[in-house]
Amino acid sequence: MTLPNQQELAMRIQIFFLLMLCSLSFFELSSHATSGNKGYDVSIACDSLGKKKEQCVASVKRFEDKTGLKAKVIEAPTGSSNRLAWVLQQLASKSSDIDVYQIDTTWAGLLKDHLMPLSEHISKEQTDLYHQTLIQNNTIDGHLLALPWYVDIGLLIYRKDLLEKYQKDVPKTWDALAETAEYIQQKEREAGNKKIWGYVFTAKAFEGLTCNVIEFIHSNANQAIIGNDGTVRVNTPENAEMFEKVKGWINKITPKGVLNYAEEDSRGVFQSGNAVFVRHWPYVISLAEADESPLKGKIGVAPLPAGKAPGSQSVSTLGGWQLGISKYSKRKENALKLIKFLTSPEELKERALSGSYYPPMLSLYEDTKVQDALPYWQKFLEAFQNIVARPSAQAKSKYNQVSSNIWNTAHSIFIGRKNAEGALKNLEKKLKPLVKKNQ
Amino acid sequence: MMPQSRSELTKSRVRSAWLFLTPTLVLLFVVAGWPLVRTISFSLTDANLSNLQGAQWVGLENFKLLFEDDDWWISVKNTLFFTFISVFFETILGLMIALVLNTKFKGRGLVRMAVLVPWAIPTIVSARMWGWMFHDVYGVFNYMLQSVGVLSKPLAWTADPDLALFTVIIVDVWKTTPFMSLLMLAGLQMLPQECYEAARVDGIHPIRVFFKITLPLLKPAIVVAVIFRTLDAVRVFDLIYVLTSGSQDTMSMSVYARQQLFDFQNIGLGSAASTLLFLMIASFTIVYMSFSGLNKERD
Repeated sequence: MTLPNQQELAMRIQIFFLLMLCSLSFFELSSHATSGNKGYDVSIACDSLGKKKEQCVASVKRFEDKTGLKAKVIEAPTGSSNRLAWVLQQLASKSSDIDVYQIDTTWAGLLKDHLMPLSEHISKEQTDLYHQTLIQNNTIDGHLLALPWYVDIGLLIYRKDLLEKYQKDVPKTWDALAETAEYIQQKEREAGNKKIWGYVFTAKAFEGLTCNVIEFIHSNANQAIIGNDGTVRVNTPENAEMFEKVKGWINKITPKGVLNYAEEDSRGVFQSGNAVFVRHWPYVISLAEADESPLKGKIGVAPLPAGKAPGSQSVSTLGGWQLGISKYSKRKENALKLIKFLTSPEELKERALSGSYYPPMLSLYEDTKVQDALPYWQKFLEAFQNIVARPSAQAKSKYNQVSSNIWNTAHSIFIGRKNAEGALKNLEKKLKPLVKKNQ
Repeated sequence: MMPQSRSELTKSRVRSAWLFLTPTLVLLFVVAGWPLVRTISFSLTDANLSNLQGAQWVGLENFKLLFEDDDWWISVKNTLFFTFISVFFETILGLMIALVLNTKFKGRGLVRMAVLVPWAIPTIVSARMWGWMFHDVYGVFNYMLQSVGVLSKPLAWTADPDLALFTVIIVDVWKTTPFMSLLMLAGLQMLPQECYEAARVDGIHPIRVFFKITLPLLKPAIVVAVIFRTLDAVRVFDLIYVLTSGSQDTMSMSVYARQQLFDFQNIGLGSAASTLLFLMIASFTIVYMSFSGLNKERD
């Protein structure tokens, strides 16, 4: 019994296409699997967007020129949380394709089972060159898992021209900030600048809010949310007071929209001239001072204000990126050479000069060339002395849940859904089991 | 004809039917069936993204955790609210647009194409665009509404908990009404013209014509459009993620599942959330299909 010819032909075509598809996908997969051993000595997954990617490629090229080894730069997904998911999938599958990973400040704890400990390979002299908070942040269970590459810290960026116009000093406390912001906002609005607000920050329910919260809490009374021994302490009267104070700013000196502002939204409000003060990362400085910016020459930079409880001081949340080596790498020697090069004083200086990357090494700030290349380096250094890390080293693999509980609590207080005391009590209750599971 | 050769022909037809379907079924299984099975099996374990091999069987524990999680129920509520309101408005507006497009006027072809533009723009792009327009300080909506006098103070469309979900619904209605109108336009064009001619001869008012003739005849098309749209709306993710993201007021079930899966690396719980979403859609589909199957038999 035979099939009619037309049907047979159609079916053969269908099967042919299916086979083509399968073989093509097998080709793809196999090329991925074997590419690890072809043509290069070490691979690194670093920044993959625009200028940052160019600079990573440039740094790696300098490594190649110096050592003669061939390095491959691998594209990672953009967006911090997408990148984390991708990194986790690579490490969970024990892939040996990527040797060096550029990881976010808070990931060392999340990736602790997958990163090679560096303590035996990096001398104490070298680790002493970095700000110690950075080293502590990257040390999990006594093992140093990553070296700091470049830092970002929270800063107070303000309209120098407006402060001079109304003869106000740069505020050193949150209360002074609120007062100055309210005064200038009112005066400017009366003068016709209707859209201006006093103080803008990022309060969207995401990691950026946690960074702001760390600053609010630690600048008021320097009490860590999660201590090094795992104690959770967030329901304090100082914290409740601070949260209520910030909530009082919403819709008064801070637009309600901050509750959905990520970094670019708050920068947009400031750079278009609609904010007197903004809490932001250093990248905003060079953008505000660019030739096309309406704020060129009009801005100033200062460390963030302090609270008023005893022991308060200005603090900045630590951000930035680190370099770690995968445990599953088959080229650990080369990977060590690469990260030692990338975090060496010479390379860090080069990156400061060519890309305005703030180096994690304090000694470099004494170099005049570096000073010229980094705008407002003195204020940055002042703030850099008082950096505070988010509780990622203490929360380890549960950091994302800890952080999301923190930002959800803060968001619900600022949006008016909960009062500070009740919300903080609830937060403590939620954090305790998360941290206990880790110890 | 001899009975044997007829059943031979039938058998060969059935066999060739299976042979035709097999490649497609294989592809469907690989692309859709296998991942679904994996998700359901993950939902019964405590799998973690950083250690998938070490997953242990926990039975229905993840589902129990879900039912106890307030955030899950909030996301269910958000999803259902979003679905009902957006589908309602999309149906009404889609029907109106379809009726207009069904009449003959100059440039009708162009208008039909233009109406599809919102649907054609990728959601990520249009969500970003609307996000800027809805911005509370430099957004164009606040500017327009304030200069006309409707608003005295700028509104925080995407941040205000009372407004955020409505803002998402507005953007979704803009985006999906063309899809609904197209489905209903197709239905309208298949309606028998004799009824309308008879109504015209009898001099019946157009509104009565609509409610007594058009609407009843169009009901099957409307039902199909509503079902398709509802199944899609329940899975809403990209609009909420890009426009608002992360906040409890607008989190949908898909956003919740993603957060569990990738932000918290909790593959077990996230898979359970995805499985529940799948079961909701599947049961809805089964109910619809059994209804329409019964209708067919009665006809």
